[in-house]
Amino acid sequence: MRRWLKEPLLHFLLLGLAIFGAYRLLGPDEPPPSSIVVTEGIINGQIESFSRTWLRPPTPQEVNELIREYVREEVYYREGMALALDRDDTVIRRRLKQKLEFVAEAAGIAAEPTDEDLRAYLEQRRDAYQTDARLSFVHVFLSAERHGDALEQDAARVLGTLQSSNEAMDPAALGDPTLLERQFEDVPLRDVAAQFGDEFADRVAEVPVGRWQGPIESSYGMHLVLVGARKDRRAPELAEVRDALRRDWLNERRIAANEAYYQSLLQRYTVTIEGRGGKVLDGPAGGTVQ
Amino acid sequence: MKHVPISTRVIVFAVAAMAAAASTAAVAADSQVGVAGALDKQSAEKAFPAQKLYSPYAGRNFPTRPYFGDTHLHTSFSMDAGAFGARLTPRDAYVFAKGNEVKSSSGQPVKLSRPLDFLVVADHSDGMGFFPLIIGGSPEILADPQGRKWHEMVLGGEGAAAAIDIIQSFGKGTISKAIMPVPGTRAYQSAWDETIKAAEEANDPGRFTAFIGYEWTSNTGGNNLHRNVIFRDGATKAGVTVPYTTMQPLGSDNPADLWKWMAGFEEKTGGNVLAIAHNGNLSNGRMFPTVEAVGKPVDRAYAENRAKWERLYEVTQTKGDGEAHPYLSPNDEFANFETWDKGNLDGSAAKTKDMLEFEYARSALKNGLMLEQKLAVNPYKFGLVGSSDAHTGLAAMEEDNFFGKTAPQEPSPERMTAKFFDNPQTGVKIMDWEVSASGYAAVWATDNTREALFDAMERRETYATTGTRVIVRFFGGWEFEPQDAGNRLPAAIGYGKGVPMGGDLSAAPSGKSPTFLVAALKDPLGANLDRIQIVKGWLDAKGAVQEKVYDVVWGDADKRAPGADGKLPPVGSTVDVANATWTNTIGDPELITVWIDPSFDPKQRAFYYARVLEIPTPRWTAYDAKRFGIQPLPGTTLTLQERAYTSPIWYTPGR
Repeated sequence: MRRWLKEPLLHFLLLGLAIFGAYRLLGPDEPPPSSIVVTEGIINGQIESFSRTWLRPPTPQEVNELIREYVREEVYYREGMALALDRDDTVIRRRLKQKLEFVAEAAGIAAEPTDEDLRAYLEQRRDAYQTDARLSFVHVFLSAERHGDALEQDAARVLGTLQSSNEAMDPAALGDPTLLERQFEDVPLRDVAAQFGDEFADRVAEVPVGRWQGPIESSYGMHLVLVGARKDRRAPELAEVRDALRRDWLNERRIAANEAYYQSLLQRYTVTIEGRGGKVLDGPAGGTVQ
Repeated sequence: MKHVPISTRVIVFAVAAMAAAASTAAVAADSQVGVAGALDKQSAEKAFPAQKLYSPYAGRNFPTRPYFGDTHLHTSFSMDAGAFGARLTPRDAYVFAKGNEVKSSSGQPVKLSRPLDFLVVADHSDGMGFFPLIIGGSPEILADPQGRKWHEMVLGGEGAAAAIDIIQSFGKGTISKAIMPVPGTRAYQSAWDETIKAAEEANDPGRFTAFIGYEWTSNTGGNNLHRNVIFRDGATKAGVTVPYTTMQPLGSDNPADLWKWMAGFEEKTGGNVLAIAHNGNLSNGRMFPTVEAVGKPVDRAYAENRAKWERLYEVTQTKGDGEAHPYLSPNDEFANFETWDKGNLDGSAAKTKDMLEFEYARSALKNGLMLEQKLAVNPYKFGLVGSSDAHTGLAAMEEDNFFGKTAPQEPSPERMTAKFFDNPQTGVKIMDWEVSASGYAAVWATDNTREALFDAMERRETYATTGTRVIVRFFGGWEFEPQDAGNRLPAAIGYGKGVPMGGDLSAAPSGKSPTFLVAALKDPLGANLDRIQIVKGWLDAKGAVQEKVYDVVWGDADKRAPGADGKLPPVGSTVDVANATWTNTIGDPELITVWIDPSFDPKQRAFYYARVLEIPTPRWTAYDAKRFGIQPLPGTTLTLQERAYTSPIWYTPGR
């Protein structure tokens, strides 16, 4: 019993405890608080956001509230960052990635294309910018439901009437009621396809102009058509598609800038894949690992 | 059907005018004569008031075709979509909607069967400032050596190097004060500006409409009260403001505050906005309150504002269908369609039966009548649209071409068996297979422009589809007669004698019941029609809400008729589930009829809307099972009847 009272280690521990206790009582109790400085610039930024949302400046009371809320957010933000809560947060990681992509894209789009750029771009993609084929036509509809087995026969008969008729006749009176529009004027062929189906559109694009033709089948029934005018697809002039070309050209630049940016960033890293035997699956990342 | 002799000049006009394509006026004259010929003289005069118009187009200004689109599509700009792995931007979304092929976020090529007519990219795109366009070359930038250097690097094709240099300078704090941006100021380009720019570029009046819009995402407690806000205007007006957010003090999670913001925008800019409430099926009883809304009583002011700002309601989308619920409509054998009734948006609270009444469109329309009786204003007088709410940038809602709700739900063998979300505490679990390939908004507009489409939405001349492009006409009036269904120009007679979907009837003429002209034409690429139904809701003499579903016209009418119980037998099915195929050998491609309400009481408020059902077809799950060779989980729904819901026509008694 006495023996361990004489143990130097005990003396050492007691002494340490005493010094530590004295320091706690006499020394500074907390680390100094970090400072949050709300600058004029930050306040103006808050006011700007408010004004843009509400299309009026905030009242002094509202400014106070904006500042209070800014401080609250800043405190949480700093504490969250101190705890590294951002590190494994998918939303934050992807958001940051997206922000950097915007930077690269913004850098990539600054220069406007010249006419030569656009002409060269168009030259490489003539097909993609062809004008729509357009046509004007009227049609007489024969419902598959109403005519049943006689549909084809009736269609042939109506076609005969239409082709041989003089003026004294309303073509629509020969057909059945339908919600389809009856008459189309200078419509793009793709609109025809959207309303009648692709097969109908393909056929009506080819029938001779100026005389009743058909029958052409759609998924509704048979149609006899009179095509009045037709404009074929053709290669466009630069002026006709300038806006689309500019948009697509810039978009291409944007994507290229983003990729170039990523590649240049990647140069700064060595990437080691430890899992999967060091192999990377096929895809863009596959070629860039060093 | 009446056959009326026709002007002898019709065909002369047609041929001559079309051969000489320049003569557009003559072609239009033909359509005028054609219309007059098809009607009898009297009703023609009613349809087209007797003034002599120089412009032949002026007499025929009703919409001739519906435009199909999506009012609710997210891209990678939405925080949650980005987190799910969406890579497509608003630009890509518009390119895709226009019918072009793009590469999806999962790297798969994808293209629509045919283009959409319009699209609203509705991202939660607030709060995403990023670096300024230093490279733009404004005078201040060029006056600064650092700014000038970067500007020249970019012009010299070294954009990527400039970007790196800029970022490093930011990091080291060596960026010049003169060009340093301050958060919240204009120097920061925002995602909102990019969103607007993408819409402006894609907007192509007459061919494709790209609306500027966003989603206001009130989600307090996981109870979904989202609204999609759509601008009628372009960048000059929409660009002066930023999306309203849900966080205090700038924003709020209360729809009443959103309406204040909308009113402020209109007042300050002279622009126009509307809001479409998100499908309420995940709101846990909060979408259509009757007593209290976010802590305030449902009073006249609430009713007026809601009716003013929320003219449309999103009744069907990927997170399920919200037209009717089998618990609320036990006599409606089609009410249980793509039902999601387990809980709220994040599965944090389970659903109880008493919530359902305040979540589904039909019961809200009914309660609206009750509230109108009490408050003199009907807060729930909304038209119907469907939309996708996809978070992929892809409005791909066709069953055989469904690209899912989120990027991980793009086509893959996993989506037949994976869980969408699962909350063991509340027991709310949703499987990926339950996600619905739905829907689209159909708008009867006079032209494919922002203005015409927006105005049609404001007058509620819209209908919802679950992804099909069926064409539906619905008119109400006092004078429709059975022979009107045989008329060659149903639209002319519909507008001539009645009001279209979304309209009002009031003060019934003595002894008259409301009559309805309703017609549907199948999707040209889609399935035949099973039937058209009219859903009636009304407030009875005791002030209680009632509903009834009428079968009014159906396919294969030569083979089937309502039985003793008044129910029409099912149309049958041609679906071969294993091969994911079907045939149009049952049903009809087109249905039309005139229907008279058989139990009308002129003293009782009522609404009527049409529901059109297609014949059964394979659901997207059947296509996936076939294409990926996957055995579906037990209980997986593999067939469906696609459908359309029109905006209602309301009847209000006279004073």
